[in-house]
Amino acid sequence: MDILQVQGLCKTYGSGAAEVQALKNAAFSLRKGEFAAIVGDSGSGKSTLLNCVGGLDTPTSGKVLLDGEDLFALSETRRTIFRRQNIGFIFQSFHLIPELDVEQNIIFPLLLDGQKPDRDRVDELLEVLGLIDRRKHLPSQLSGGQQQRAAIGRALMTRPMLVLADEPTGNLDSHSSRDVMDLLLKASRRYQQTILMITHNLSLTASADRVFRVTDGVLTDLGGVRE
Amino acid sequence: MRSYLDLAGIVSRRRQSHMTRLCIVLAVFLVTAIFGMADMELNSQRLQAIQQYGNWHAQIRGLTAEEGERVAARPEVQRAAWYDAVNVDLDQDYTIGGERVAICGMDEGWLAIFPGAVYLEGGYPSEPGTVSLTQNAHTLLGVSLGDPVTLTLPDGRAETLLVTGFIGDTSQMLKQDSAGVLMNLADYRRCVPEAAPELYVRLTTFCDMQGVFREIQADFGIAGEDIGKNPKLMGLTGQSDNDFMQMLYRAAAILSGVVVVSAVLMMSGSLNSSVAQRTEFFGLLRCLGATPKQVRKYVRREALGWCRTAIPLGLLAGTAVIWLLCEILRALTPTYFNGLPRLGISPAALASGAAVGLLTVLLAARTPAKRAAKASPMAVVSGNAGTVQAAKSAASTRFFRVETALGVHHATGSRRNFLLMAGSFAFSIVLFLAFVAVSDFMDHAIKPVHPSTPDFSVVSPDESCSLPASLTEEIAALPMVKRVYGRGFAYDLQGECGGAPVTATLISYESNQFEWARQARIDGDFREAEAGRGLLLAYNSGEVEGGGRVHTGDFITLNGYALPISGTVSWSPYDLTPGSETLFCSEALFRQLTGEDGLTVIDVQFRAGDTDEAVARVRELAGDGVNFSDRRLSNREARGAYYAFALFVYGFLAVVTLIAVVHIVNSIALSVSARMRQYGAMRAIGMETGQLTRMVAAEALTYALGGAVFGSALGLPLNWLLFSQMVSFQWGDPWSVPWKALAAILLALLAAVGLAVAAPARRIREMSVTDTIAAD
Repeated sequence: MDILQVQGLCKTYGSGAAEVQALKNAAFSLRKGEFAAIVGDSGSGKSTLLNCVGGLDTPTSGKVLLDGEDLFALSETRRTIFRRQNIGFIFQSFHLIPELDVEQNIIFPLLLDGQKPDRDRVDELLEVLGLIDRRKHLPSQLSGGQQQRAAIGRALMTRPMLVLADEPTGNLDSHSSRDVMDLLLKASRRYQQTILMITHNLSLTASADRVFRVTDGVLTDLGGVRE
Repeated sequence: MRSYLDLAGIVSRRRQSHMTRLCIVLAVFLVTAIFGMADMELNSQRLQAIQQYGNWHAQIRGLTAEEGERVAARPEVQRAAWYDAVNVDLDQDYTIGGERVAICGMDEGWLAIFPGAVYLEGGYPSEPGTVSLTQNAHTLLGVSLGDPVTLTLPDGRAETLLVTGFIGDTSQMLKQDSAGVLMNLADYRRCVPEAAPELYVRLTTFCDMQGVFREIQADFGIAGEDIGKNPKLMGLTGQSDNDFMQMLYRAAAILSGVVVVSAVLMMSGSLNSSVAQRTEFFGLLRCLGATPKQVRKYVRREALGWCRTAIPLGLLAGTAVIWLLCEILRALTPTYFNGLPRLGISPAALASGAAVGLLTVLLAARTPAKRAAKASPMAVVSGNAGTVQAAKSAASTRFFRVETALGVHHATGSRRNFLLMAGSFAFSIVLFLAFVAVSDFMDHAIKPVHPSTPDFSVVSPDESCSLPASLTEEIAALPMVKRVYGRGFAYDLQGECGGAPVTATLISYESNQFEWARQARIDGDFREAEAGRGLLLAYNSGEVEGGGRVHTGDFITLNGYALPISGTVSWSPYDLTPGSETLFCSEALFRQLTGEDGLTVIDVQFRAGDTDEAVARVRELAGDGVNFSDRRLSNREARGAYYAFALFVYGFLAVVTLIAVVHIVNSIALSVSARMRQYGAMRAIGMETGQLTRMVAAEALTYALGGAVFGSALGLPLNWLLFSQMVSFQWGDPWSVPWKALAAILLALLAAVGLAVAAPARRIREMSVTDTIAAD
């Protein structure tokens, strides 16, 4: 069953001579539990695609359907709420909230919804992330790898339909990068989590179910790697 | 680019630097406007004091002519002139045409010392046997320029003198409705046997006046009490040794200190957050080889660069406000304030504005410069710069929703930042409360003209009810007359209250006067008194010896009628008689009790404009055999003094409130700018714009709450200190918490917080999430 459907996605910046077509009619779909990677050169349009899929950016044309819900048919506020309940984000620069400790950062999307977090779920996640003894630490007291693991925890906390990761290992050393990739894979396998990840590092695509390449705004499906 | 420091001018052109520049403009504007207003107030007070009391510093008694010349020859003495006056209170028989007159003797130089004495016709009576008169002599004595007048002296001698000129009236003369006679010294000595002219001396502004007086005393063997000083003029030039003036100087010093501290705080807050946001940039500078010292220098240079445009703008804005205020003063009371320079420059204000601006920027840049110099080059290399600003503790999400908790934590996370922000809120409150004490001082020091004060009065010569009541209607029908109200007086009425004998002064009121009395109501039902069924009591009877034995609700028997005291007023516009209760009643009741249907006094208030014609008509209608009192000039003087000071005090309060509002708006905007990336990330992971707005509001309210607590804790003692120095010391009024003022400034700050949140909320709503997080 397709959890994500992207149809004819176009994004154009500027106009006239300064017009740049960042995305040209991109279309693909992902099944539940699929782990897909997007590769491509700097400026090829990978991040634009990810931002549009996540509803952070509005495409010039095209549709993004998540579990059948058209993201851009929703109002800004409803889209925001839909996003925090159904899409998890992982950024290259972690973007943890410096004033919240690890545990608070992880449950942050639930707090925004005014929900009470499930303690067992939090403990389980912290255990999986290897941060159980760091739960009361502030982001500034963590290494880069630990910060990114906390960010992954935050993305998984709401059991979203889709996790979007933009160069999650871009700011990490190789050891931490491996840890992060292992975690993402574990999430994909253990929780049947659908993941779409941007990476520069081709070796990281080895563990992905599918790989896409973006070149000058054009998306090409390179097919399954793992299979 | 010749030096790395030139980079400051190139890379600092951001929204942030606009805001910091605005802060500097505000601080400089604040100082310039305040010092300019103080300068203007001193100037206007000085002009007014010179007009009213003369441009002299001391009057020296008991000097011979030769000693006077020696005093005048001293280098510190700018001008000296002889002057003496007799019969100012009209208690001696110096008369012209049967009217008592005041006599002054002076040399011609006196005219330069009293610029208020201006010749309207003719000139100084320098020839023997000549005299000049005050302008009102035209109507009072019926004389014109060149006429001879015969001055009859108390000893019976008669001197015939030729009128050489008419000089402008003085308010004292007009109130007494008498003319003044001005003579040269030789004639004065001949006519007034007890003549003892005093030497009026004006000193150069910057000499040590008290020292000069001590030297004169020693040189001529003069006793201290023989040197009379002009306390107002000396006080206004900072030369007074009067205890009260010293208190005022201290109060002014405290206020200036508070102004400077608030300017430093305002600027520190702004520079701090400007630097905090650019850790990455300073890290980059360090990375590229800048030493910490060079970074410190860079930050200072950047701050000074902002001064280049901000200080002139602040000075310009401050000066524009002063110009506006001067124009308002001039429009309100042209007689007094025409002397204020049009589009004048106050060097004191400009110098203090520029100096304080520069000094506060340098002082305020110290901490941020140190902070910038500590930026780690590693932050840039590792790519983590700016993404995680170290927080010292986690926000507490136990009591508040997460967005509120984060807002509170943003405010309190850094103790220094919280102290700076809450401190600048607090200083607005402190500054406001300090100036509220000054406004209390103003209300005591300068009595505004009471609404009941007449411009012109017709008075029964023997204080009986001899004026016909119909005269009020005749006067009311004249053009230019705004209001006419008369009253009858009955003195020493013997009565009885609760078995004890009571002496009372009974005064009749009509509707206008009942209305004014109502504004001073302490208790009781005034309608009963107005309807003629009771009496009103003047409360301050108790302060007069033998008074205070009657109270609201008592019954008093006067001339066989038992009447209730229906109410008490806190204030009576008339002098109270010792041993006597002052009671007010309706005109009908007055007639019933005293059998009198005439009036003792008829007061007239005029509309604005030329009222000389109307006064002449009133005099004509009243006829001979009555006294007149012309208060038009003294009312103008009182109004002028009050307007000038009120404009200064309320102008200042308005500036303080405005600065507080702008500063709060600016500070919150700076704080939001500093966290924009973080807000972008929060939006990306699902925070709604409403939640972000609540976060900013919680932050602003936390600063406001802290500021309100600090501000009240500091401001109330300061208000007490200034109040005791300026008001209690002189008038003995006890201090009480200025609740209304406190509530007013707190409400203004709350409104400012609302304003401060609105603009960033719009920015947050309009922000592009992808652009904001891509700025990494």
